[in-house]
Amino acid sequence: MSNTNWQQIETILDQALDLPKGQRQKFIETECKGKPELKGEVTQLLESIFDSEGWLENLEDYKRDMYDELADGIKLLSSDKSPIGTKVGSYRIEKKIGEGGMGSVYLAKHSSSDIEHNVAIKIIRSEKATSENIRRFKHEQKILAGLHHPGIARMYDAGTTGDGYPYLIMEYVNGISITDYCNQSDCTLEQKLNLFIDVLQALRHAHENLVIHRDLKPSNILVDESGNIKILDFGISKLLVDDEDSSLTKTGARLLTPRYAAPEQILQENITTATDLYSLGIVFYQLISGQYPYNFNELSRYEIEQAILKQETCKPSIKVTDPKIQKQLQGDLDAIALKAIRKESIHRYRMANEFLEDLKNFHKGLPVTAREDSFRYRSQKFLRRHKQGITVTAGFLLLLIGLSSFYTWRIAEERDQAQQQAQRAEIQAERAKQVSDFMINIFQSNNPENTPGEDIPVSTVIDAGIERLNEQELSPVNRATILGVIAQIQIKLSDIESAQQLSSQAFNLVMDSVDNHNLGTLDVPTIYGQIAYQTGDFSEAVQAFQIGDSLFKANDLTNTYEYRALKYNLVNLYTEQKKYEEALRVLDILNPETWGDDKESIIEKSDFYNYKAIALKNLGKQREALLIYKKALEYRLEAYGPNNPEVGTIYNNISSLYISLDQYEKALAYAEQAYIIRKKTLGPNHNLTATPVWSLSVINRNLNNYEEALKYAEEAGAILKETLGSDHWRYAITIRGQAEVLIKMNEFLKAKMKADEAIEIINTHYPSNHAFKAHFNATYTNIYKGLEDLDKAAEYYSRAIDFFRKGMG
Amino acid sequence: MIKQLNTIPERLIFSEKAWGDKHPQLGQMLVSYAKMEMERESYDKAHPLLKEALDIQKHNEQSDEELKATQKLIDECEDRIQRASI
Repeated sequence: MSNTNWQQIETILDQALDLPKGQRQKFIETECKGKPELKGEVTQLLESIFDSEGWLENLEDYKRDMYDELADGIKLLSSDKSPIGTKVGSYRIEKKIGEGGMGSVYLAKHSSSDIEHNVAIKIIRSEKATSENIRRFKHEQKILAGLHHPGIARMYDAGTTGDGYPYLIMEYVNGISITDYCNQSDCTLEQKLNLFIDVLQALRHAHENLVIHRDLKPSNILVDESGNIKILDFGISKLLVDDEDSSLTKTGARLLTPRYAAPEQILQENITTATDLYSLGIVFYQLISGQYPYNFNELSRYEIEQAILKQETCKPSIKVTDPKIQKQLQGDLDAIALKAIRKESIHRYRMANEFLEDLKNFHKGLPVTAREDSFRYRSQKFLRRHKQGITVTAGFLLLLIGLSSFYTWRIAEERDQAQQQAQRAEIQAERAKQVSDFMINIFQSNNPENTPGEDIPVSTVIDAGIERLNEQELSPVNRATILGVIAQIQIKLSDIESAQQLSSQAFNLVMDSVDNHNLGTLDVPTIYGQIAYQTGDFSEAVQAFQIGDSLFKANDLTNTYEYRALKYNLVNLYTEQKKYEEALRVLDILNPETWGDDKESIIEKSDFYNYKAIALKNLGKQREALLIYKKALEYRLEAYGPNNPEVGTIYNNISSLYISLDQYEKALAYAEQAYIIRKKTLGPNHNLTATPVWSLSVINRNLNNYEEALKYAEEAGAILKETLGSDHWRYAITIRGQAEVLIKMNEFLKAKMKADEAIEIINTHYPSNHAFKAHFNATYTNIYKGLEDLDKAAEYYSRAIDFFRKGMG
Repeated sequence: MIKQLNTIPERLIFSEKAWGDKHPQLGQMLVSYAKMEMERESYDKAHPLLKEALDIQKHNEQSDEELKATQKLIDECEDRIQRASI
């Protein structure tokens, strides 16, 4: 936090504390309007002031701290010596797991042997990683970090090392390349197709978020032990594209893996989604035939490039020797593979959706777009699907209406029936597809300003998209969905103002009709509400969420993840406003026990119970909250296993709940668990590890284990002094804690010295009437009682009680 | 699809409580203060503190045992004040 920020926070906080309790929240909202981070900091500190008996920090802070620490360590690395064995944050760089033209990849393991958390650290050592490329990459890293898809390896952080090379901290995937996996596991054609469909779905997600991979190849598509795919290195090749034109640009393409590079990459032309689909097409070809489409053996790089540009390839089935597989590939799969790797991008699959649709249609025996759309081909498909029924009726009908009209009629009829059965679903799916296609299509924008090979910033792509949107004739519902999707991307780019504008337009369009909505349009009120919430306009946010709720109900889409997301946003908002009863009412509508048993649902259940426990606790229903917290713990354990930060947070919170119920024996067990996990994940000297240490002091004090209590208070104090500084309020509170223990030990003079030391820290940094002093009044009361100065004790009692009545109550 | 927000600060469970001006800790402090005043035989000072504490305890539905203990202290104060005024 910068000094300016801190001064700003302190000023707002001090002014807020001078106000009656009921007016504080509104004051903070006004002062921090449009500055959600500032508001968060002020609120956090305000909350903490009233909390001296147990500290809790949310998981997001915890993770941010962990990766910040890791990044700090990486920044110190230099290229002079090998980083293997170096400790970076709570991680140790174990070994090199990859080396290529762009640099090296290292595996970093969590330094605790009990915690199984690994990350991959990629250090890019290339002359092409210019400062401009790094700057641009850092900007877009916000989007990359926001790519949440089970098929995409997460990017946690990025920056530059001490000697100026870019580094990336990424999810470590323990797997092998998709081609090796299929060979080693002897996958059937169906298994290969299923894996490939997963890859396409992940790629579609990235394209919808305006991210092009640019360097897809089997070594970037891994399959883990459970058979799940993960695509690595999204957008990273961008770091290595030259900004300049002329001869230097050639090297930009040369760095790409030429075997999977599309013709337009070799020609330095515009890169689009079709480029990624070409590379995947080559992978697909290899998967189904076991062979690479071109014979590059002993060819120079130039010859390889020429082959990619000019050489025609044969059908994959021709490359196969097994007659059974050959038969399976002939026809549709041959056509799909060849369409994917057409040299002219215009004739290729331009969107992952189209590729996916063809594969799905192949599965169902439906016509695929890759094949010629001929009557003969469609008729054959129809005959194959209806082999039995058709043989009897065909002869008769042939006589009457002729083969042509019969097939045409049956195909149409079949389609009509399907439409009748699932008309609404189909319309909605089509709409969703149109929206997704539009988003992806804006990549294809032939912006005259774009020179070949130029890298287009996301903001330009978005602007082009909005312009194109205004030109297009779209239904209000589809327009709203697209505006909503763009607004979400703008939020990721921290352009809240534009996001607010677009989401407001989208919201107005959505409100024009009650029904005919799909999950895409129903996300719009949630997006609009989220933005209103972020800018501090709570009443607008509540209204948006309520309208969204009505629309979900009107469209019978309440049993969906999107509906629950809307509800959680409302709960979050009510909690922030301390309207716990309302929060609870919203939660009570949901029934988590019906949500399924897959990992995602289990995580969602644990979050649900966590929210509920917080609301109950704040309504003073500690016992009920405790039961609910235990359910959250149960689900978190199921989802993550015992040694996980997510689990550690719940242990900590349960412990704190038991403290507030004066059940210290039980609190002890949970605090110890939290301490073990924190110590292992963050190390013993981390400021977040001080939280359970402090709890252990409070617990032991109340269990009359004074020596232990003093030891833990000192330990927490030492950690906080080291990490946060000797003028931090958290450190002051641990000193006051030592005073409290000394009071119990009848060491009143020593206790007074400690209390004086603590209050001096507070006095130096906070105004004389500051709320921090509330607890000190109570401490001094006990000290003076022990010193038998009852007049002084009475004075402090009055002050403490006065504070409770005015400030805290 | 919107990823659900996961930003509820868990420390909120230790924040300003929803008890308003009937915080149980205020009740406890009032009783402690009153007891000290009773030791000093300042029953007239202790009495209003205990009445306020009892109100808070009732509001928070605290245990009968706690309510009885506070009531007993109130009775004692009233008795002493009564006797002093005779």
